Amino acid sequence: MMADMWSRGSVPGWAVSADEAGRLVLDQAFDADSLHELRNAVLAAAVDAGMPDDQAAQVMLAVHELAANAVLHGGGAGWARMRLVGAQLHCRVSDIGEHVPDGQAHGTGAAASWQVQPGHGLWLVQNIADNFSVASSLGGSAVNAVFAVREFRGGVSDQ
Amino acid sequence: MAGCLRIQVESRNGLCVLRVIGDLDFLAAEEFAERAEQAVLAVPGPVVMNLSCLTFIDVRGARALARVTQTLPAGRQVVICSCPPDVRLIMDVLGLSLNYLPADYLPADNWIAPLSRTHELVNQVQDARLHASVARLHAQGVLDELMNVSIRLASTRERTGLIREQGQQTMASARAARELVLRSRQEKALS
Repeated sequence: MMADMWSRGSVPGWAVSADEAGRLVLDQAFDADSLHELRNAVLAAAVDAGMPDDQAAQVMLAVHELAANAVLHGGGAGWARMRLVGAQLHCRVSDIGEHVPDGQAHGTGAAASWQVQPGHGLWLVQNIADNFSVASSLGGSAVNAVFAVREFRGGVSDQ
Repeated sequence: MAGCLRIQVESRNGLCVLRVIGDLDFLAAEEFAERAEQAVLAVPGPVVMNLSCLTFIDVRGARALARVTQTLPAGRQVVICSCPPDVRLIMDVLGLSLNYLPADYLPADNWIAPLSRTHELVNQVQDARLHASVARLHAQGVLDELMNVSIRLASTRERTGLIREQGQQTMASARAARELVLRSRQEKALS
């Protein structure tokens, strides 16, 4: 059921250019109870993509913070996807969006929950990721964080 | 979940050794802070927080950990030992500075070198506390004395007021008596 919600095209306004490129290394739904499993899966996927252990731990932290934000402010659940595109690991975390009351300006509810404040989770992600972007729409928000794989040796991704 | 995090506390060589075991994330942060504060209160001595079994920490977890080390009662020293490098990294990125034990002294179980210095510091703190409580006792005495004086002053003022009132009454009746005398003299002169 959840997979349908995130299938391509169901949520307008999302950047899908990087979505289909490269190799899918993680595709997992999460909520507050499954964050521990998500972290383990992200760590394994990052190592599998050829990342050194310490960088894989940073990616795990970044995806966790994005997922935590989705759990706390984005409706309590979400979806994490990671793709290896060339020597870059693209991590996308989407939430299901908070209920926006009638009369409130479109999108403000979703965008507010993904604002970057110094010293907070998103700020940390912005600091450790090589690239960071947020896309919001009525159906929820999606955050993209890109990490260049350090000491990338190429071969691992194609096996 | 909270089930993924445990706290162990024990007394060792006069130290309060607190072990944080598992994942300290935003779901566990609040409960961790409460339980750690209670655990530290239950065991006396300088606090050694052992993070060797801390498998994961996020931003809110890091804040909770820093808060626990900063809100201990005055006189309780706290030192962090066996901090995993990725935990240290988050702390540093967030600008949360903790009192890390130098790597030379690791692990905490063999932590003997700084112990004598710790005892010395604890003694100094205890001395200072004693001095402070004696000073407080003296201050209390002075305060009591002041209170006595102010009570006596108040009663004196009250009595002074009464006397003044009586004086005014006496003066008024004397004036009345003089007027009476003057009038009777005038009447006598006319007759």
